[in-house]
Amino acid sequence: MFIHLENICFTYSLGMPFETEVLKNINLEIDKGEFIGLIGNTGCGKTTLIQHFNGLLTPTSGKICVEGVDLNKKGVNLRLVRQKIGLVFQYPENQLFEETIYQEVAFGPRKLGLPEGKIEKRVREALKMVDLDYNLYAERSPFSLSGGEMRRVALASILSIRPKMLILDEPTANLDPQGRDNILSEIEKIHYNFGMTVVLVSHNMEKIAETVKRLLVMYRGEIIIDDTPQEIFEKHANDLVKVGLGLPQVTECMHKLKAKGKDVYTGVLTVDDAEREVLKKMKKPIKR
Amino acid sequence: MKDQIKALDSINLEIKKGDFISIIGSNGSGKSTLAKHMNCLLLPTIGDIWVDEMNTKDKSKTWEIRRKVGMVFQNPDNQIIATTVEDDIAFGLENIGIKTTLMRERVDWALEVVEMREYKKSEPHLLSGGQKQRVAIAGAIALHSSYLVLDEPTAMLDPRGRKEIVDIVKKLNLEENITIIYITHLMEEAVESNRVIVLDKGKIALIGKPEEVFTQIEVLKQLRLDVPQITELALRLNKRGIDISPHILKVEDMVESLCLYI
Repeated sequence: MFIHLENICFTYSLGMPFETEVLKNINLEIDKGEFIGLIGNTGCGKTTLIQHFNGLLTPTSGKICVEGVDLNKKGVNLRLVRQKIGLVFQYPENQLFEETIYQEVAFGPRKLGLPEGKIEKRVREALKMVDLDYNLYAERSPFSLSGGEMRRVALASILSIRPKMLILDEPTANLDPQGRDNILSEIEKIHYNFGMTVVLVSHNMEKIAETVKRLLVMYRGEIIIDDTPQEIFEKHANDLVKVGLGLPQVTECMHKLKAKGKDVYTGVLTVDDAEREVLKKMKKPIKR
Repeated sequence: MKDQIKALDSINLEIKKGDFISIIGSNGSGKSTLAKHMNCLLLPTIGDIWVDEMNTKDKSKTWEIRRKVGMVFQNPDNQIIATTVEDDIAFGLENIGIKTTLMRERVDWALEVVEMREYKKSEPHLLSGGQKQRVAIAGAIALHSSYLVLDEPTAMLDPRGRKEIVDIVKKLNLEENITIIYITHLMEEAVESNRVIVLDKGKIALIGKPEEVFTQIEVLKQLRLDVPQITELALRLNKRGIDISPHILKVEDMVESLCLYI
């Protein structure tokens, strides 16, 4: 087990007039090598939850263990935990500050006190992981890049710390469809090639469901569904609509056919899935 | 300048009163630049823009044009300035010196249209993203603008917030007869308009009714844009010789067609 959360509750401004209970009794286990999507509407507690994973926030009550170590115990080295769990914030391009991309990505390893030779190796490795050519990019200013590229540099600057787990908060927000697909395929590659444990946080299903293996749906501070995307779309479609998340068009189409009494599989995620299912269930292919 | 960039290149476009057009295109295609030309936030290097017979280059008309063409931007937090919802909507009216009694009337009307009347005394920062964006829309229409330009108004909203905005925009167009220019990345939203303009590198790459534009899947993919899933499915089935119209844009229509075969 990599991360284990037991009865986590969190309240902002405890004892103040604006006291808000954000997380309610969260129980969650994340294994090494998992690829997870965390979905929920704005304000449901997603960002608050992931900030508990590496001790940025301390729960009001409950227990969090990372690799068996209880984060609330006295004397726990949170610095080490934060090296293991790399957190990429929303709009990470806003936190770029160095003069060159090399310096930007080298910042983390340098803080770890590594010698220059090792730092360079880490920078090369991290830039390669996000598909940025070292020779073309290392000496450029991060501010001369496009939005999508800046986001990849920010991702590289987390990867250079060599975390075991990567959490990305809304990694595709405000990118156009191409930029969104690029960053998702980088993250997929990092997961598959390096066995990285990944949690993708998003407020919309757009492409996230087709990318991940396990989906957590949050609603008003609770995890209400935890299953594979296929199972969720097949069995919990109504719940998704009820909490305002909506379904991909092809999934909605299958559910509407089913409601009309047609025998179709409703756990479809992509146009490919839907096409296959329609062809399979056609009484006889009626040609024009 | 050395780094000059041609953001818009020979655009010819006519928008009729009462129309609902959407503009799509990848980042950097010129969508926002085009939008900002519509109410004199930018002036064209070459060419002219006319709003109700007024040239945007005519400095004496700038304020009148801006009153006619309301703007709503991506992030409502950048547009809301007052401490209560109704004060925020009154801000624009105060600036143009509207009488207090009339101001009261306009504020109430605008809040009614965006379905936010019960929140008129609320503090904007306590509202949801969709609600804030509706306040921003109310602020624009309170000036009785005939045209409303919305620049990716749903980019920061969750699915529920997105639907709220699309519903309000459709209502403004149908019931209040406000001409809508709607910029978006989302095809499901563009499908709701009467006419779609696809921009690429500052030029109009495609223009037409949604069913004409979204069925050109290859072109859209080349321009780095999404294609509505349901249209892609319809096209693929059609290619396989199944008698399903390739112009399907809505899930309901697809369900109806498929019912004949399954």
